[in-house]
Amino acid sequence: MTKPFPALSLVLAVLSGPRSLGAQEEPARASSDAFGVEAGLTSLQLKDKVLNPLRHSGTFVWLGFFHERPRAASASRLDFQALFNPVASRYESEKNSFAANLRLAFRHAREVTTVGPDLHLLLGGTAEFFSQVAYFGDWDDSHAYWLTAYSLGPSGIVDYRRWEGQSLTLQVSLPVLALVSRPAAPILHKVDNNEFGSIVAKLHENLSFTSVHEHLSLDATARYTRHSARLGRSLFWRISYLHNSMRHSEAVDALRHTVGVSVVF
Amino acid sequence: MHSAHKLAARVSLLLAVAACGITDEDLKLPYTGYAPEALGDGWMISTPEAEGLDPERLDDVYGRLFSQEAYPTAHSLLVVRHGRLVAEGYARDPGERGRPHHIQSATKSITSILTGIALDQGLLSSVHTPLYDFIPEAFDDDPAKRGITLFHVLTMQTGLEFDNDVHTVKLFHSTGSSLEYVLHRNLVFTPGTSFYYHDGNPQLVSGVLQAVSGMTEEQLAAQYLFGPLGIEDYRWERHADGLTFGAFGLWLRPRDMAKIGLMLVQGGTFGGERIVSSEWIDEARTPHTPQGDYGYYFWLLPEGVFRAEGHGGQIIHVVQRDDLVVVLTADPYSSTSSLSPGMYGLVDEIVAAVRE
Repeated sequence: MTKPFPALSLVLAVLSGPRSLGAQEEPARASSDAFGVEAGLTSLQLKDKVLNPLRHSGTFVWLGFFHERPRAASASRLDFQALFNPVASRYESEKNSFAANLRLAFRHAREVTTVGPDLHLLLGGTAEFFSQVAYFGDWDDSHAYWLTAYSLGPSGIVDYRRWEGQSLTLQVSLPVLALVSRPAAPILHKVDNNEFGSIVAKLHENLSFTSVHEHLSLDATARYTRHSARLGRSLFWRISYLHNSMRHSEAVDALRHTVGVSVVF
Repeated sequence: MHSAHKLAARVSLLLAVAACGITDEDLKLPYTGYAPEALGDGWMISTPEAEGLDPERLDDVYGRLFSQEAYPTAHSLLVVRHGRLVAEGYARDPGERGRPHHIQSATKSITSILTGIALDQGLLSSVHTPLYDFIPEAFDDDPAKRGITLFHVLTMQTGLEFDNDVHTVKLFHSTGSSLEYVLHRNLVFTPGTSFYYHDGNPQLVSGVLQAVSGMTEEQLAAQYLFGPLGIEDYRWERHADGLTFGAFGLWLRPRDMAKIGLMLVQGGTFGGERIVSSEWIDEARTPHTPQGDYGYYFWLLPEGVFRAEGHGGQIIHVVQRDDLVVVLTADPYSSTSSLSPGMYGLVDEIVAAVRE
């Protein structure tokens, strides 16, 4: 049985940090560029009807990297995640299935209004590359199930800084234009080519422009951050929901909850 | 403030929708019975009682086929007795009755039937002819391979090294000659001395059939097998070199799989017409391997029962003793042992339902 306490202690230790923060060290919204690392636990629910209408789910570790560029009236962030997530349906006792994700997202937002001294609203856009390959070993040992999307859309940030050295932010992005690849349904060939080049090519088969009527992708993150001059630490909860129903394929739904900590260097 | 509140409310709504979670749906339909529907597709419909089958046992079997708790990979189950379709069920989607289904390695058995037809038609003279006589251009310089006969190929005794988990994918996606791909593999034993099941050998038969007939295996099937059986809606994959895949890649509708079974159980005739000689069927269901459970691309079971069988649970089960055919289809790429252990037992229970 997993003991949660060491992990929880680590999270609290990261968040509490050295007690050296003072008002004079509190960075304003303007700050220097920074790289950061995120780590945590992620829970994925996945239903790809090209395979079957069953929900596959599983929890695994999360590791992500990002680059932030906060400015006085704007904020930019580049996220990169390469994730592996074992999943299983209700019929499987062992997890012979997995989903592997690759995500590269750039978001830029400018401040559009403030509410008092504490609440800042930033609006902007997001550009994202997302690719998910799922392999359901027991259900289909011959084909990959994927979704690849290049997408553009608006994003928004609500930044609340009521307390000294701390902030609470809610970030939401919702791409409205997307170039998406999904497997055709039904699959009418015996087996996929498993050479690397063929897999990459397959992930871009049937690329089609679409919008939210077929491709809904919501990414929202709630983040509590303690700032210091040299180090920023955050506790975050991220929810990503994706629904795609391209005409040539069957619907796929993916819901991911992630809880973790991030450290900015 | 007002706009911020509205945005927050909408974001909250989307978050709430997303947070509800993805629902798990039932894999199968509710069970409503197994009576076949008369479609005017050439099948005579009957009842278990009229054809000497125990209806309660059939009901029990079909109830489990449709169970959400068992055999999640199962798709369809059909029973033919005395030439009549007496039971039929599609657990996933009734539309599957009209859709061709990948029968995987049960394709090999079709290749066997077509080899018999080629003999009947005089396109082949004997199964003991060396393969080299038909397709010499595909051989490499290894003289030992020239001892491989059509018999060795039909009984999986060529000795050519071919790991299905590796080489089937490579064969499927190779761009050169599929015959060379198989024949240029190493010999791991002297032809005719051991049984080694793989997807390479039937590809050689496909090459031989094309060499002697001037038609692809699919074209041969269309003329001599599918046409006479009234099988019109099917799909058969080809290699890049144009050869029909002899080991896999055939999609048939379940009722058309049952027609193949009916022709086999009747000793090679269908609708009064001779499709393939009864001698070939007898040879095809005769043990030719040391283990005694394999004929010419048919798996042999006790008491003269034989069947075509494909990965995942695609079965044409032929019981000549009882004039009975059972067809089972399932997810064609799935692991039966992991997800649907005991699924083949449904077929055995249908056989056990024979009363007379």
